[in-house]
Amino acid sequence: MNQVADDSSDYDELYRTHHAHVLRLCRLLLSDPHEADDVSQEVFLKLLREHRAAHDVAWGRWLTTVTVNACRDRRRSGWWKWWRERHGNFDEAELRWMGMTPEDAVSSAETANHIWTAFRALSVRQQEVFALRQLEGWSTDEVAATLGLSAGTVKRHLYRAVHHLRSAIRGQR
Amino acid sequence: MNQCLSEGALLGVLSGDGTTTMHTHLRLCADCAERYDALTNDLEVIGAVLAQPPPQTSLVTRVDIWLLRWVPAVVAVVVLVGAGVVVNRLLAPVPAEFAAYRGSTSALAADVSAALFAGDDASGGTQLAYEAPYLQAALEAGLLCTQERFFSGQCTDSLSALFDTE
Repeated sequence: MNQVADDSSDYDELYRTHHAHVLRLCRLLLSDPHEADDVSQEVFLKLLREHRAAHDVAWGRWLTTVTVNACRDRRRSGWWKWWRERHGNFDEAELRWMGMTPEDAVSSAETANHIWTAFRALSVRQQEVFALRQLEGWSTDEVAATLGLSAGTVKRHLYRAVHHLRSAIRGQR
Repeated sequence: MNQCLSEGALLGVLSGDGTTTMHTHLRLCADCAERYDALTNDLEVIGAVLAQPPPQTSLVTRVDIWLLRWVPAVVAVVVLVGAGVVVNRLLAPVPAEFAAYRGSTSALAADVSAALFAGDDASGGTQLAYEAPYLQAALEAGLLCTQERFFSGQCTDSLSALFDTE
């Protein structure tokens, strides 16, 4: 009984610690908040099952890996692909930039729109590599091991992603 | 290393993968240092934007999401119901009154024809043969006319022939 209580407590702690991070990663890789919510729930269901069976696991890293794979699976769905191709643009009016002048808000909203649009235009691999390497702060070797790529391939994907995203910013300026 | 660093090399340095030579060059070259700062600044902006929730999609897009979720299910239900109706009709037993005609369409057609055209064919034909030239002449002549006058060739008004049959 105590073991069950400990597991539950651990799980709650993991959920509190990592849920925002997992959701953010899902939103980054899927863009649609509803899809991101669905996938993040799937990820924590997997955590619940895995957590009962396994111990001494680096759960933060495990969650990131499972999240990236779950998002990739979701993106392979034919309907999802069709929908993303049809709805590549964002509604700029929905952008929220609090505490800025209207001019700054418009400028920032446009910049953000360009960056998000450019990020969506990246290949799936480039998005994953950029998210893990640049935003999550993983090392090149860790990203390579997680995604099943060579270190050189990871560097190439990262370079192309950064080049493309910077082009979007420079085009905005 | 006198040659300036490429964008890839600068990114490598920024990511912690740069060599000692690259770091040394970066300290000595103002141009590369400026490009390095620009890269750092751009990545900070990109990281800050991507750390925020993505822009919301429009209402139209949300409607499309709803349609995408439910239209396949509705189509599947319609197809299943249609298939069920077809199968039900194919497997339903034939009514007793039509059982005798199973496999014999011509026999059924003959019986239906006989039922539709049943009656005194001879008298009907005679009546038509008698009236047809009389009516035709009355319509064409345009003169007042009786049946006797018609047959004696004295008709002047065909309309009377239609009503006056003495």
